[in-house]
Amino acid sequence: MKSLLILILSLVPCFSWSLSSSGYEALRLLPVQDGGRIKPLDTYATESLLLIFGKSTYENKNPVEIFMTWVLAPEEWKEKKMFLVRHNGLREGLRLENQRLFFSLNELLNNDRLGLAINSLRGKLSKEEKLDSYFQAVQKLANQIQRFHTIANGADVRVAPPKSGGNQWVAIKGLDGELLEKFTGLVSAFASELKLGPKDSSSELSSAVATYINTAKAIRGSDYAPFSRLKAELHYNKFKPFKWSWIFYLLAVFLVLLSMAFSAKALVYLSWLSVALGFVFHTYGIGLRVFISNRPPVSNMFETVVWVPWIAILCAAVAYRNKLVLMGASVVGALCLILCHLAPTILDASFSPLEPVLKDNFWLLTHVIIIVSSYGPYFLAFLLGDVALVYFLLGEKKHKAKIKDLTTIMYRCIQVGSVLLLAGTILGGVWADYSWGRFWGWDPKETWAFIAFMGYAAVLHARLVGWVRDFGMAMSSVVCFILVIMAWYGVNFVLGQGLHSYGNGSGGLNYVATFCGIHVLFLLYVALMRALGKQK
Amino acid sequence: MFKKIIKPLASIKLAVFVILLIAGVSAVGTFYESMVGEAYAAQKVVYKSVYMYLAIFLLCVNLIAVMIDRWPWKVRHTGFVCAHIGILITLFGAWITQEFGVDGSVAIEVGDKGSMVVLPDRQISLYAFDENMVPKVIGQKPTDFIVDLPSSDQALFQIEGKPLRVKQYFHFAERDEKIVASENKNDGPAIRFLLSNDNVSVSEWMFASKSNQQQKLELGPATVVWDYGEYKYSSGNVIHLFPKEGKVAYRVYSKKKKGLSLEGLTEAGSMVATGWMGLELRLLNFYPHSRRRVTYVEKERFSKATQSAVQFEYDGEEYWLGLNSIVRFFSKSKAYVLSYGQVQIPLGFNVYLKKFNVGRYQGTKRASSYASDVFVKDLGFSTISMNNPLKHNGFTLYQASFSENESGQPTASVLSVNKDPGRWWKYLGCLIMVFGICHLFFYKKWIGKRKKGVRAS
Repeated sequence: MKSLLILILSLVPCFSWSLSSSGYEALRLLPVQDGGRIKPLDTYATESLLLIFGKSTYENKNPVEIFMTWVLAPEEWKEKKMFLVRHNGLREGLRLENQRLFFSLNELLNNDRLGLAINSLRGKLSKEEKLDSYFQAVQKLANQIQRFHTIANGADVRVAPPKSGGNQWVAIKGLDGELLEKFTGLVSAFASELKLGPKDSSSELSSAVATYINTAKAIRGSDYAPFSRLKAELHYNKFKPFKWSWIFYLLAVFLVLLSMAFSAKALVYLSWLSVALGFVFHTYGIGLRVFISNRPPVSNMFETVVWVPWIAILCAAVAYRNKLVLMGASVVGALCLILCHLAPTILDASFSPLEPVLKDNFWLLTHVIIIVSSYGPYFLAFLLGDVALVYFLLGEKKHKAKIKDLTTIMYRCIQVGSVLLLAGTILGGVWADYSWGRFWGWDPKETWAFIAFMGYAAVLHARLVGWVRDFGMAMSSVVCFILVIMAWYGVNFVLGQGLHSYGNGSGGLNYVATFCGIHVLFLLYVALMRALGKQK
Repeated sequence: MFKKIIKPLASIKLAVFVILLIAGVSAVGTFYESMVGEAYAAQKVVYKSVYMYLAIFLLCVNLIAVMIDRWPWKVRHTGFVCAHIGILITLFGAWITQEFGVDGSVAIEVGDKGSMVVLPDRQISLYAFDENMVPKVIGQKPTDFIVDLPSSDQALFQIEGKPLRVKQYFHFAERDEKIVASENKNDGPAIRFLLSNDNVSVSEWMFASKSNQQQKLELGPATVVWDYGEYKYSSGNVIHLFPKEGKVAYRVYSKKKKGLSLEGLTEAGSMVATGWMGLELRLLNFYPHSRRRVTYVEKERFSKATQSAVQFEYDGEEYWLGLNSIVRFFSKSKAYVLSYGQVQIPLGFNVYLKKFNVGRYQGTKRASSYASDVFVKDLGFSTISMNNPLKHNGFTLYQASFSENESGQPTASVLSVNKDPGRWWKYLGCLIMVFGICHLFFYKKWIGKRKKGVRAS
């Protein structure tokens, strides 16, 4: 099969192609078994391209096309500089050109040091040692190369349900009989469309895909893949609800700023509308994810980063006093969702399966959702704290009313957040007791939830004795949120230890540390300016 | 007078300090745990340290004092009193759990039974053999080496008037086994050889002793035999090595010839061509008398290959003991066994593991669920799975994890075993606390407003 296809492809002027849209759409929906579930080819191809290249398009070509050419003509790709090696130390360690980020497969395979690095990685993995950032990078590079190989030789791209028994699908390489014939038909339709361009609207490719899927249905029954979920997932991939959502949130922020400059009431209404639209897309996105993955909305880091602003905006709507709250909430929304958009390799948006301990459990669901929800009001308080500090800089007396309003809302937010965090932490204990027989075990995640709670508890008590007033409230909502960031991000991405390790990931530490560092400097600056102002 | 003492103890300023203290100590604990990679060490060094207990003690004093200070309580104190009493009850429950609870585990091989709970605490036991050669405990000491290392001049046990001391303790150590030359004429000989051609290269130690006179090593196409010279050839490709006149004698038997094809004497550093497949035999080390020497190398943090290890000294001899292992040693007249291991307590019943079931996510090796099919007398057959524990005899058995062999077949189930008399105190305390805090925060806003509304109308 392959030699024939390569022959066809060799006629294709390399990398100047276009597919018929119907054929492309049909191909995107092709069911593939990967990572413990059935996903559309679109998702599989995007994940592969993201893993290898770090972006979801390559030279303006979409992932499915790239994927198909990997399958068809892997030789063509061996010299393409598409393997992303972001880790500085690894590039140095492998004596790769340090000015470049992207390397070709041949460059990597001809590198003797890489083999040694992978060998010592294996040693570390077998001892279950904790990997430092260098070895995490080695592991990632090994995964990138392996992913390309399994696609290129078709050994692990599982496209057909098994004829009988078992739940492991058959890979491209293992296809036989009618399925092989139809799949070959699909691939050659793709190749000929590439070569000749789409002839007319009734695409040869789309009918080839349909024929292939029908053959699979005939073998394994029509429910061999969850097509309604696959369609929803493809729609989610294409529509990108969270992108629309942050666009509207960002728009709302600008509208509020404009309304301040021109003091026009209409602009505030417009910004309300914009936030509402953003919230609708936001909710739609969360709903879609729940439908696609068939599980509660907060199951991995990405989903928490989507969930927290949703709650923050809800809180802002309830506690609405002035447009500053609206702006604060929009900033939270835009910030979190843009983060998801910009850092897809760190905040993994994939629907990967859950650990056994996390499955089908009411208490688990409740405690995670409640705790993550508590970050929402805390985040809002943090941003309002920032806004209040800006007003302190602009002139405490002049903006007294606004500062008072903001302080009241911050106080409320911290109260709501604290009740949620405490209740969630206790429910986490109940869950641990129910699953492992241990209510409290000083696991880092629970300990940091506890530390964050204690931080806010200290603020609430200090307020009683007058240690924390309006200025202190603004300062402490910012400082305490750094504790929340530690509990939320730091435990999984920095400490990387403990029972909640299924949420572990890596990357982004520099950005998060810079974010916290800038805030600390800002606080010090405001405090200094205020002290100097009082002296005068 | 009494109020005068209570006042400073009841101060909110003290409360803020205590809250921050507890938060700070906890934070140190999480960083420490991340640094060493082990929860047990963090528990010992931080969470169950004197500092933590002191902070919690201060908290309790503060809480009790502030409630006495506000006495007599009024209706508006409801939230305040509940929140603080809730914390005290929760802490009381935690104390009950700590003092009277059991939190251990039992690992059962498939088809086998388990009856002992292994606790995280460790102890050292000394056994002596009586005249019927039955070991009897003659000394037992709980150890807490990670925070409380016994000094090396203090005897752990006195045996026949001589002290048994702890020389060193490594909490994270990798076992390192070496074969070294020995002075003792009773110790057996050892060699290390390298068998290689262009494609393969195998280096191995071989070791013979009084109790194990012959060691055989199957290396695919050939077998290597190391003994005192008694080996009789039967079939296959065999290299027979044995010590002779301070050197090593070799006899190469070939499958083709069905007999001896080569023989001679060699010594460390020299090489012999075997005549099959270009394989060359190079003798790397030869000790006419040798012994295994186990040592432990200290590591900075936990990994799968590390364990805690203690070095003992008795009567001029040193012994290394890894966690959950024993060593036998002798005085002039008697044999002793020293063990260093986790404390075990009986369950009071046997748990037979009949079958272990693992469900996998489609097309992967990732477990999606797992469950132990067990049999317990009085209860019959039952299944322990995630979130579905088994209760019997005051213990609760939870499915914790499992181990599998290289081909992915589960070999043993790990159940976590638990007895928690403080549980309901903790639940009660938490409920009261959350109610109190909600009351504190929202009473005025919800109930208070309604009352105002009533008054206004």
